[in-house]
Amino acid sequence: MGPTKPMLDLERVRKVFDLSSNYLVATGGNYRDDPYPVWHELRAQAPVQAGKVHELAGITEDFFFHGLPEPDRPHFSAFSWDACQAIYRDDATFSSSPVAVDIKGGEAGVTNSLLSMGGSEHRRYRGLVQSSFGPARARWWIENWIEATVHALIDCFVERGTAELNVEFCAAIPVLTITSSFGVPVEQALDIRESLSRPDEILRILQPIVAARRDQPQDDLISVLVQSELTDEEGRAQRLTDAEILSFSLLLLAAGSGTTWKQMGITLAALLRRPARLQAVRDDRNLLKAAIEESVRWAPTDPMFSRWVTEDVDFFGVRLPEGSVMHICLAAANRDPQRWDHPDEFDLARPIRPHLAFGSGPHVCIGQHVARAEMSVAIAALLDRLPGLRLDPEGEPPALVGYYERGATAIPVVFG
Amino acid sequence: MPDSSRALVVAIDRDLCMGSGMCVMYAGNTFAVDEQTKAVIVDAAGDPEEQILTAVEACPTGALSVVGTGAAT
Repeated sequence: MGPTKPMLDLERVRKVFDLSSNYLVATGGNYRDDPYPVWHELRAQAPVQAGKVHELAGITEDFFFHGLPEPDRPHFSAFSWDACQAIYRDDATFSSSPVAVDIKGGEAGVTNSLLSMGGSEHRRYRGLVQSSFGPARARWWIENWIEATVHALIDCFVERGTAELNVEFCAAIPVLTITSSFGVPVEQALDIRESLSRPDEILRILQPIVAARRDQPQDDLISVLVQSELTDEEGRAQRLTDAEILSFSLLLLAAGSGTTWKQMGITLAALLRRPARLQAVRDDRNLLKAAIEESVRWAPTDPMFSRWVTEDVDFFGVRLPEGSVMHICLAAANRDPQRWDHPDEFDLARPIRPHLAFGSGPHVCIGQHVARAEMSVAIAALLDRLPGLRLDPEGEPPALVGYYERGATAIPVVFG
Repeated sequence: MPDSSRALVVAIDRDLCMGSGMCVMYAGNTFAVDEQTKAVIVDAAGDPEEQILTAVEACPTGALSVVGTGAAT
């Protein structure tokens, strides 16, 4: 791909992706401290406790995220590796939704989707799309969409010698990857991202694409979805309806664009603030995998997800009544000293082993291999094309902010 | 180099497996995902034993288990 004009209106990107903007302040976007010392204390007190994570941590402001606010239910939080892992693995006791999903008759929306299904229904739906997201499909994503997006964005600033990587680069890659895999033109990508809370608007953009792919399939994700056949309880094969395809598309946009952006920023910030480690990755690209795995363990962008308790149960010494909300503080589990030596250190030499950044159990993040591919192609391309890449000594170094959606502040860099 | 004379014997429960690909990520020379999006073993000694054990632990639905050691074929 040759040099291009800026692909996106960066002012708009900045607005949509500013952690302290109206979009994200509700999840704790103004939070500036390091939450980990208190999470360590809470884990040491007891692995499972009554209360919400941020309340237990002494925050009086109301923060919202998955499983919050749910004012009429008792709340519990888990902080240890063993407890968090046990919750994820037992989806019969800890359900991903308080109510059954109505995929056929309900309105298209992020939660009326795979995200909230259980048992065999979840298995059947997820089975349809899983193969498009497996490690073996990473090359399909990279060659079709990720590489072109990454290089077009670098083209926009490569001659300048400076860049602000969080907005000019990290924020744009995931949203462009997903929307281009849908067949949405670049000019409409931000319309879609801005409309996340107005599904009707997104449906208006996606509907004609779904219709066109039904007519004539192409090598893209919507074509995979329109051609997929779902086998129902009686063993009959059925095609997905438009509503089912649109709900899945909304879920991908909601779950895949903000998260990968922030995790990429966290990874770059961690490396740029540790120049010796950045140099090690530059010299040995095999270390990039370790850097990405360590970033998601050490500072997962979403430190908490929730489950709904389906029956009265004693769990790690705590009585949980049916209907309670259980908050899984997976970020605390990812630094449990029972599982990791010097857990607070960003250490590339650490043996790679499972963490909970992408969850676990049957709802484990379906986009995790695509997210890894985006981060690894993007960071490798920066190192290849921007010699001497380093933080701008005149700029404010990036900090990690936010509570339930964590990410880096601006990442000003110089190169060349 | 993996010891190819003895290998862990890993059982895959195809009902529990939902094709997450986690085993492939941790031990990609040992596991693959087949056309039904279920894990299969392509080479029982394809990776160092430690990596295979990590893959077994990583399975999000507990579909993999070590059932013994045996001669690799």
